[in-house]
Amino acid sequence: MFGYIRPVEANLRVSELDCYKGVYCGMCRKLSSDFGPLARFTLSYDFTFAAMLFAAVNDDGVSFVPARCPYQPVRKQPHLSDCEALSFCSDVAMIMLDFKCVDNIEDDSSAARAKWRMARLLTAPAAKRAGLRRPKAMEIVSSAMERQRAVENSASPTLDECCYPSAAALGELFALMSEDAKKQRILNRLGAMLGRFVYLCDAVDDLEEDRKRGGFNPLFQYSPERFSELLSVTINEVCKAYCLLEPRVFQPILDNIIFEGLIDRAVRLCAGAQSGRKGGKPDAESI
Amino acid sequence: MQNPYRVLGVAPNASDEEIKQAYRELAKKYHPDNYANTPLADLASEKMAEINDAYDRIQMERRNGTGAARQDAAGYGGYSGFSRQPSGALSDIRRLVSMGRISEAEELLDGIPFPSRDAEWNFLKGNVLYSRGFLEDSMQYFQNAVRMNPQNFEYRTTLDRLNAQRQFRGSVYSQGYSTCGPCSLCSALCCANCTCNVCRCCTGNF
Repeated sequence: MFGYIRPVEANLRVSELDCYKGVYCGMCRKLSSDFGPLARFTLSYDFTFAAMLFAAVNDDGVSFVPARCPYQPVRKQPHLSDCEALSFCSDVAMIMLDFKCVDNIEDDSSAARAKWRMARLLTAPAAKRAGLRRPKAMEIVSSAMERQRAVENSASPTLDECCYPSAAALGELFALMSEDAKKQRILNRLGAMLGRFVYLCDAVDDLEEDRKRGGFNPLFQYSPERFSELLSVTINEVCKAYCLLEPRVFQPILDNIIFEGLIDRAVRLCAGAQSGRKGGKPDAESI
Repeated sequence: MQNPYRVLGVAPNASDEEIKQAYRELAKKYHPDNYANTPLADLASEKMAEINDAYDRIQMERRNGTGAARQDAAGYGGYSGFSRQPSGALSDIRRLVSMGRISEAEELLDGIPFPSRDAEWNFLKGNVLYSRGFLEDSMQYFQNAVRMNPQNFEYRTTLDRLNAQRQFRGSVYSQGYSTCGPCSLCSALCCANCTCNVCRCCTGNF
């Protein structure tokens, strides 16, 4: 599993950790049932968080059902049962994945391009199906990709200008989670600041590689000591928005992710940047 | 009307000191100044009013309506921070910003010629950019405002508050974070599956 928006598991109660596992197990199962077994590999911490947020914002009554998992064949594990939260997040995840493949096909070297083209054989039809169910989400992601590309190709964009298209898009996607106008405003800001956080984390993680390959990275203009400041300011804005949301479901886990998890991830990333290790890619510390 | 104890997050039999403490912590989080440069300022203001109201009601209940409420809560009232209107051409723009009409404010700001771009212009430009999520680009404008008018309390406190956010523990939102750094035993034992008493002992978070 990969992603930057994750809890500090050591600080979750055992029951909360079980609940969290149940959510991503439910997400995994939903991805597989809607988009085929290979879609399981797109499972991420970030979308697990989004699913909990969706449920919390709509005060959904959530339930867990025991089900079999191919990775834990011995005993049935509790899975979050099918709900709009899982449906929304798995659809959006597929749409974003397909656009990411398109993006990589444009960017990467010819050897890597073949791999992304093959991936698109699966992601394109999945994204199309998801897009038919979620036309607004499709529109948001597609225009964000264009604007992101335009910014990164422009002459010396500032860091903020680089973050903006992805951040604004995630804000709009989060706002789709609720029908309530007030919640939409809060979700928009929360999504925008989380989008900025993820973009910055990605940039820190990819710094060395981009330097080697001569790729684009807006952090080239900053010294490594400043990375933690950039992330800290962003995290504060995430927290401010989240405080106004007052989730009723999954609150302890969401609190952990927002108030502790983001900083934890940022601290590790910055330490990794000093020593050249990567921080957010698939790792062996998965649960 | 919400249960005031629920709003403050305390039990109905909590002591007066606990209630005061809860109020203080909430006020620190939802203080309108924290949200002054964000599009959610009015919502924070509403939340602050709700918290004040809950505190008042509890105080009055407990004193059977005889006592005064919130002796120590002066200054945690409504969203007053941004309503001071300096005289001058920029007061209209300031009004637009406080109403959340950011794009209009920005258009007007950008229309003002360079020689007239004083401290207040820089401060408002910083606000507009920060509101839009341009957290870094806005800083130079706040710094300009303080440099051009070092006496202005509002410019200085805004800059100080934003600078405090640059440290991971610099604001009230990040107080919950504690590293498990010294506790390598926990990491080795995959502490998620033990009850994590070891972690909490190490960090002193009983």
